[in-house]
Amino acid sequence: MNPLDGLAFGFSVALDASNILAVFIGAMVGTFVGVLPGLGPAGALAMLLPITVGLRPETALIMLAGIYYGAMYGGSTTSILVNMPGETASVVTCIDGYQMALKGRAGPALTVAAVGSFLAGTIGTVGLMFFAPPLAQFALSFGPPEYFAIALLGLLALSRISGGSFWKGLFILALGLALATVGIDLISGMTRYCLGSVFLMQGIELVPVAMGLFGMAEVLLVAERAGGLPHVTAVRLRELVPNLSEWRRSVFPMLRGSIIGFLIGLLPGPSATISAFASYKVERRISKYSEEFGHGAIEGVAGPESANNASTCAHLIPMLSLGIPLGAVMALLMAALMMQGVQPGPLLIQEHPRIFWGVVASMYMGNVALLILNLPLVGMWVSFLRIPQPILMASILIFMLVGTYSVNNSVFDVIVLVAMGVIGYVLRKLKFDIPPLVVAVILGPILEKSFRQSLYMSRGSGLIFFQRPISAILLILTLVVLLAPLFSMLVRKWGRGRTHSSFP
Amino acid sequence: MFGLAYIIGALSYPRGTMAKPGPGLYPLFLGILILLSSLGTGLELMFRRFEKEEDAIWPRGANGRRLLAVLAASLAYAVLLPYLGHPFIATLVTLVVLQVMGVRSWPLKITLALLIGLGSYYLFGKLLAIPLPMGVLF
Repeated sequence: MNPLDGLAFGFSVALDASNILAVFIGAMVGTFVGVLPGLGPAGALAMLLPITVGLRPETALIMLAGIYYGAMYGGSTTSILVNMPGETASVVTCIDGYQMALKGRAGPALTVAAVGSFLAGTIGTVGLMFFAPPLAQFALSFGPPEYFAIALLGLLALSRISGGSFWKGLFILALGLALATVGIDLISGMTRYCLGSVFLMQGIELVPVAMGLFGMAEVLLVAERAGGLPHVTAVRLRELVPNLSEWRRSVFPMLRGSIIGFLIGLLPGPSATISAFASYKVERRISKYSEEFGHGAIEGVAGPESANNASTCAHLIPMLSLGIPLGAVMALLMAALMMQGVQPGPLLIQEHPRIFWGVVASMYMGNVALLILNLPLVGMWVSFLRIPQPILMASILIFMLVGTYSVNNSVFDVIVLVAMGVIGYVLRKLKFDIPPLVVAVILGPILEKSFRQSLYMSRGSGLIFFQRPISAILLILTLVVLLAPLFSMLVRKWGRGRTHSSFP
Repeated sequence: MFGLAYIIGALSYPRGTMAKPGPGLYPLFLGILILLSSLGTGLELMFRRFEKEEDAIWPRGANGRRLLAVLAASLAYAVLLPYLGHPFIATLVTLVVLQVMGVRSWPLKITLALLIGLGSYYLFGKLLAIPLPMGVLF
């Protein structure tokens, strides 16, 4: 199916009444989650995962994807008005966005952020439409060794890019992979690590794990802090429209941000956040008004806000075309598909065109819906910031408890949720990075299966991974990713005192 | 903090040696990875000790009590759900959370708890038609 036919088909799917509703709900929930500081898209997706079980696969994915890119819109609102990122990808927007708000230009900042997000979201969706199908086609030739290599590369790169220490990243990864081995081994039918428990034999469900690590841990952190309400800057919404020079200064940052965001979105890790930072740096470097950055330069809002939206679209590509999630949110989207009995992988686009093209078409619609939702209704979203924390927290907690129970009608899952919440809380306190853990839980079975299938293919020779060109290249890349920090550490130690290292 | 990393590392050790051939091969590699990475984390921490990096701050006093109360309420939900049923226990859990989070007025607390408890029942039990336990009370 060529992209235009596909798109036409996609709209025929997405324009179904229930799917329109799904786009709308996704956009609403996404904006809500984006506006609220603390609750990120990953936690929200985990919370809503149970609800999607009763939906058709494409409807479920349309809604969940909507939450993801919707959160990118909403995040900027809180950044600009409260100087607090609604979610992590909007951290950079705080810098110049809040300064603009102090100068009374909050309206234009909000407009530029929303329009930039819209533009980037649309450009990103075009990219998704053109790149995902060929990539899937290419991936059809992949065998188990290639899958092993690509999963390994994805995981290690993720743990590296997510920041933090090398060993901590590796540890969290290993922990996730270990969690994934609990239960019945799919190849031999043997039970592993069940500690004699019948409940553990079914393996550990992803929903309670993800919800526990993101949602429950967050609730516990809030319970500990019990802070007051954020102070919200009052906005005069009459001045939403930017003036001509503000428009002129924003257009190119938006376009550049879209491209930067799209490219970085193809990499594993929290690419929405990274791309926003990258775009900010680029804009500051090339801008004629570089001295204004930090004091309310509109480019510093337009660029990053566009970049984070474009990156969300690009992030979908590896998940939809390879079945390899590059971040926590993608892992959850993939889990949603698997809960529907849809196996993600290179065949997804061919075998389930309703899902792929439906989601693509829904993203065009979703971006329009978000633009409308975010601009005139910005006052409504801001008022959500005034919901007292105890009420919000209690509702979220109950929602998570019932939600987890409802997936399998299992009390055991609820206990897993609470346990994961404690683990997530402790890990967060110890400054471990959570997303690689969730991705490892999802990729673990793929990694193990492809590893063992490869060994069957080669009759036990580990050389098979290096004899096939694609997997060899990927593994060499993996090695580079793995050794780069050690190497740079050595260089730094060696060069200390003599030259200034280029690494921070 | 080092102690904790060490305990995790120690716990992970038997995983590797428990491995049986066949289904155990991959866990064996994994066990080695766990062991290595926890050792790495531990060593790194030991070195950092000398650089006087700040440790994680664990909650004490009122903060800790709030945390434990929320945890206990969540666990109570899991354990008591089959006996007391969702509407009742959810209302109760909400009440506890609101209480420890410092909502003072009782009428407000009870109204909110009923709203959230019964509202969540309506959403999941009725709209999404998930069979929630009703418990012995209803």
